[in-house]
Amino acid sequence: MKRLNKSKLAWALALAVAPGILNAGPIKFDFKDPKKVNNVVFLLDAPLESISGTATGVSGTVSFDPAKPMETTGKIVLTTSSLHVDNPAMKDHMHGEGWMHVSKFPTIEFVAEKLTGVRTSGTTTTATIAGKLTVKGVTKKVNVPVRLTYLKGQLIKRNRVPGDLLVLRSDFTIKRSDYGINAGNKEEKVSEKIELKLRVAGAAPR
Amino acid sequence: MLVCLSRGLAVDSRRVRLTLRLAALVIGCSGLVLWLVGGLHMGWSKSTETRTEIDEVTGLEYPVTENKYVLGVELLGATLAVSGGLFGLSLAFRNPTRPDKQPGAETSSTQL
Repeated sequence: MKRLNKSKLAWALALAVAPGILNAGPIKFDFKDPKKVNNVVFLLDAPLESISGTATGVSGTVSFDPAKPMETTGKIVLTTSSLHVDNPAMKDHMHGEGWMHVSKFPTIEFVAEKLTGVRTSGTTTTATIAGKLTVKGVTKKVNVPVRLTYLKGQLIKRNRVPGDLLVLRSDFTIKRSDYGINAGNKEEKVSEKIELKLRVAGAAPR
Repeated sequence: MLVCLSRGLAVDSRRVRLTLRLAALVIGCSGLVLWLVGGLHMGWSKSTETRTEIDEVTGLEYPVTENKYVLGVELLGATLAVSGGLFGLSLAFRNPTRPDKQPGAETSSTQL
C-alpha cells in the first residue's frame, strides 16, 4: 500500500512538472523600462566637432531560448523624441525637420531576424544579428555584433518580481547618408558616421 | 563760461569712461567666474548635464540627466568680447583738452 502511494505521488509530481518542462522554450523578454536604464548612446566625431548624446525611450520584445540562442528574434524600438544632447539649441536642431524630424518619424526600429556565429560561454552569448534597421522611414539590412547575457532568476533583484533578465549589448556604426539624415551636409561638424552603443535589458516575469 | 563748459564735459567724460570700464570689468569677470564654476567646460553651453551610472543587477551603464546650466566657450567668448568692446569704447571718452592748456592759450594770455 505504501509503495503504491509513493508511486502515485511520483506520477502526480511528474505530471505536474511535465508541462513546465515540455513548454521550456523561448522566453519573451519585454524591454520597456520605466526606470530609463535601457539606453542608446550615439557619438558623431567630425573633424571640427564631436557630438555625443543619449536616448532612453527604449521598448520592444525579444524572444530568447537559453538552450537555442541562435533562434533569438525580436524587435527593439527607440522613441526619437527621447534623443538627447545637453546643448538645448543643438537638441532642437537634431529633433527638427532638417535632421531627425521626430514629429514625422517618431521611432527608430531594429528587427532581429537571425543570429549567426553564436558562441555561448556560461550565461553570455556573443553573435552577429542579421536584421533590419529603420531610421527616418528608410529600412536597411544590417549585421550587428551583439552580446547577450541571460540572468536567470535575477528579475526579483531589480523589479521585486520573480523572473529572468536578458541583457543585450551592441556597438555598431551607421552612416547618415544611408538613412537620409541631412546627407552630405555639414560633414565637417556633423560626422557622416554615427557610432551607436545599445545597452538594454529585458524582463520576463514568471 | 568756456572753462565751466569744458570742466563739465571733462567730468561727464570721466563718468562715462568709468561707467564703461566698470561695466566691462563686471561683464568680463562674471563670464569668467561662471565659466570657472562650470568646470572650465570647453564645449558649447549646456542646459543639462549627463553623468553615467551603473545598474547593479545588470551591470549596464546608463545616463542620468539633471538640469544644470554650464557656460560654454561660445558665451565666455561673447562676454569677453562685450567686455573688450566696452573697454575700447571707454578709450574714446578722454578728458577734453582744457583751453588754458592748449598750445596757443598761454601765448594769447600773455599777449592780453
